[in-house]
Amino acid sequence: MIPLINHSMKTVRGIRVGVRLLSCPATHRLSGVGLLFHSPVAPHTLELTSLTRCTPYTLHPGLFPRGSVCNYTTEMDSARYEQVSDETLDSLSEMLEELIESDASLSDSDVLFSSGVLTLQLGASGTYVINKQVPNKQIWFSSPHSGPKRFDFQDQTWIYKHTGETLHGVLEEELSQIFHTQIDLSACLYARTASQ
Amino acid sequence: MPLLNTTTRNVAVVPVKHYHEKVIDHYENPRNVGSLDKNDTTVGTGLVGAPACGDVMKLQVRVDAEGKIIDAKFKTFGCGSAIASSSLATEWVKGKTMDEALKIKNVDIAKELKLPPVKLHCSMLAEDAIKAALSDYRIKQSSKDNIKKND
Repeated sequence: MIPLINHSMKTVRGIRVGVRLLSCPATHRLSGVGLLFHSPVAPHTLELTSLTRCTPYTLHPGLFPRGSVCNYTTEMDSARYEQVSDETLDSLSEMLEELIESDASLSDSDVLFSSGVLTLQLGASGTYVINKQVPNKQIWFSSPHSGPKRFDFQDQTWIYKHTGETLHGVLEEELSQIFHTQIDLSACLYARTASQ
Repeated sequence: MPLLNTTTRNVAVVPVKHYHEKVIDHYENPRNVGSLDKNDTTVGTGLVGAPACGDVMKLQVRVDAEGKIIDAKFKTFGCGSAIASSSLATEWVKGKTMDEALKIKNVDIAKELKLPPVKLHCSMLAEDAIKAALSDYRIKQSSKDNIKKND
């Protein structure tokens, strides 16, 4: 969640832009830009569609009151999602397999990857499940230590919007503790933001 | 003979075999199913999830003047774990103050229901639903006038 006021002007390129407002009265509307409607499933979510004719599109923060909190999401197309998520999980599972093979101290550990679900079993340290969530173009992550997180593809990597953490960053941190050594996953595909 | 076959099929519980008994209990006897009046200013409504992913959870709370949650209802469209998580969440928030309710974490729900790794997301959805309901209640309280205009 990013306070909108910190973004003086944000240009969003994409097929679809969702503007999510939290702690903001549902009476506020963007007008004259695309079509804005109140999401039927989330009352405080405003969705902006029909942007095909107005990309790149500029959000004017002045339309929202000071202190509003919002999230921008740019949705990628399905083919790109499939490709990126498959490559991400493929690359990650290869790396995790190497990691497990290199550490003989871990018994009962295994990496399984099939139909978009990557399962990392680490014996007594628990089981990680990392899977594709196609309907919302996310990667879902379930950790025996930190619980579940949902990652969106942003800035060339997978980001958990609540905290700004990256998928690979979270894994590196937790696996480093489990393996008692610094784990580096930066060689994996889409492990870092474009700016890193 | 055909009758007998039908009976046998109904008795089989294959789809729920792998759920923990606590999940099955909440699934078969869900607590606090229903709705509260979403326009009531003492009611907070949280609606989370996305129909596209198969899980939508609505959780509502009624808060008294002292900030205590005196009633909670839920309606969930989703898997057994999602239903059990929201059912348990309504049970837990009842009688708590708003601050206490916000301390309920997904791990507590997951532990209580013995959810497997892949189902932890359901408990997170329930935590999100509690937060959303309380946030909705707070917004209503802080902007009662806006809400009136809205309706």
